[in-house]
Amino acid sequence: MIIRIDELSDVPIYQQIRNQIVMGISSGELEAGEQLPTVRALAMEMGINTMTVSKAYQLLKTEGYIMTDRKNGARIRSEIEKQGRISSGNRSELKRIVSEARLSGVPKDELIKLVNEYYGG
Amino acid sequence: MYAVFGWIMFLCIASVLLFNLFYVYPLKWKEKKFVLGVKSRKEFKEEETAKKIDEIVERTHKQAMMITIACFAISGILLLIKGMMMQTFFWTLFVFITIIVDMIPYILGHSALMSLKKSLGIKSGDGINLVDLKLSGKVHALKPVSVIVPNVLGFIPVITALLLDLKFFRLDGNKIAGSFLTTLIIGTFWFMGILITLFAFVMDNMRNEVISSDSDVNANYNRAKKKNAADLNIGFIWISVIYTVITAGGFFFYYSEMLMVGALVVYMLLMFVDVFVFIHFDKKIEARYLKETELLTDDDEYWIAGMFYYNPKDKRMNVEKRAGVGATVNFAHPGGKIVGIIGIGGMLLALGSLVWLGLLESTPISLRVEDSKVICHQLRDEYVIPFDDIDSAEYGDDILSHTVIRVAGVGMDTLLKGNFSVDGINGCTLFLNPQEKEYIKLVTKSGQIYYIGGGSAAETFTAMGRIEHR
Repeated sequence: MIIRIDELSDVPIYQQIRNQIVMGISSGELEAGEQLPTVRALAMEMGINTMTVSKAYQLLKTEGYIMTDRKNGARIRSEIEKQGRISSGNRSELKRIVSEARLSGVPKDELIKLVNEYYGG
Repeated sequence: MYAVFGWIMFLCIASVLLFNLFYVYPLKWKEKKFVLGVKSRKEFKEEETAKKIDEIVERTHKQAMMITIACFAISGILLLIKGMMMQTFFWTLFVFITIIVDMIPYILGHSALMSLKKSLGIKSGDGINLVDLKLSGKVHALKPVSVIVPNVLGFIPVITALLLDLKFFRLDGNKIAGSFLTTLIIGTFWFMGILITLFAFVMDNMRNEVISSDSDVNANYNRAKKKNAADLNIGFIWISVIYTVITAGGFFFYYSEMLMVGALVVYMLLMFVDVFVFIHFDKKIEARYLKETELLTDDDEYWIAGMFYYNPKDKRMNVEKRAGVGATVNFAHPGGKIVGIIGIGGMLLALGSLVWLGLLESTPISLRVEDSKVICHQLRDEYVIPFDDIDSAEYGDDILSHTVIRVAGVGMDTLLKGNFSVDGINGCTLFLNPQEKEYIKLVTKSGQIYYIGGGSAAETFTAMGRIEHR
């Protein structure tokens, strides 16, 4: 799975890592039980501070996407808790995206098509 | 001796210039990952743009070729210079000038290409960093055992030479035991192997490049690149080991400066062969994966003149070179800054040494007796021997009839100064001009032996007279 980090983006790097790992899990690129690189290895590969990667992993762990232990490092959780609802943060983010799309003249069908594509079967 | 030195320098310069001409200034740029330090991309291969790039590449290649021819001609002239000191001075100066001049077409070409890129409206992917999650920390090609074994083997002659110098055992015919000359020379080359080992690990831990959205392609590409780099470094280490073994074997039984020079020539030739094998396979790997390259990380903006990487946002210290082969440092990284300072310091030191050697060559030595002391002077009072310390004094008329081997100090056509081995006796202090054959051999009460002489035979003779009447 390819992670794309934009160092000049307003989104903090740890958040970008977190977001792309979540997208990877959702799309199936990262499978349940799959081992993630160690904090040090990923930091070296990205050329960033280990604390940044550690923060991203910590966030993913808190949100229940990954599990970590001393022996096996970080792994994708086999069973991710399904809350069945969109978080308030994501809800307002979605509202912003839909609003911008409407203002840009994107047809509703196009937007729904995209949602279907990203959501999958 | 200076003629051999001149030919060694000629071979080195010629190889580097030819390597640069065909590897740093290649005409077939479409097969390369970088064109004059700028990352190649799809847009460059569109017909109109490709024509413009062809022009830039051909122009820079032509300029580089003219510089190469001029350097060959100058090298030929330098071969005619007589005297070790003059050869050393002019060759070193020439090497520094060549390094700079040979890169001028590259810098100009890089600048032209960056302007073209800008005119095409292509913005560098500033700050965009691609990482293959499945590769992080997993792609390695260097097996520790493959570098540990040669280093351990290379240490055997070093420790043997050290034990010989420490007189733990003796070898018939070895006249330089105790001088630490063998230990010093082969120890240096063994240490080179250790440094290359460290460099090999650095290269093996280099960041993996993402060229495709397929992790398998990325893994294979990076593994192939790292394997080739590992083979290059393992080759270097084995060459250093072979050099230490052969040189030690030779020195243990028969010391000769020609043997030393001959081994060095073979050492360098093997190094060049190793580099050319690396280049051959590197080209093959790049050609093999060019078609599968679909992703591009563009950090051209961080490459000063396409040669020096300076990216404060990148925490990595080492990155793949754009001009030439191997790795370079990120000069924004603290470690990179240290490497840069050491590099500049090394160059200044080399130039400073040249000035110092020039001063030594041009300043005549003098020997005088003053206040019941024998004073050897050149730039400063080098050795002061009080009469009371002298046990015996002997006048000799041909220093060249002795076997003189330099251990530490200056050994020029006109000056022998420092610690030498004379006729198998180590630890002798020399201060004389070998062209003036007369000398005085002084032995102090503590057993220290001096071979000293003045700027002229008359000066040496006068000093001897005063020492005799002390």
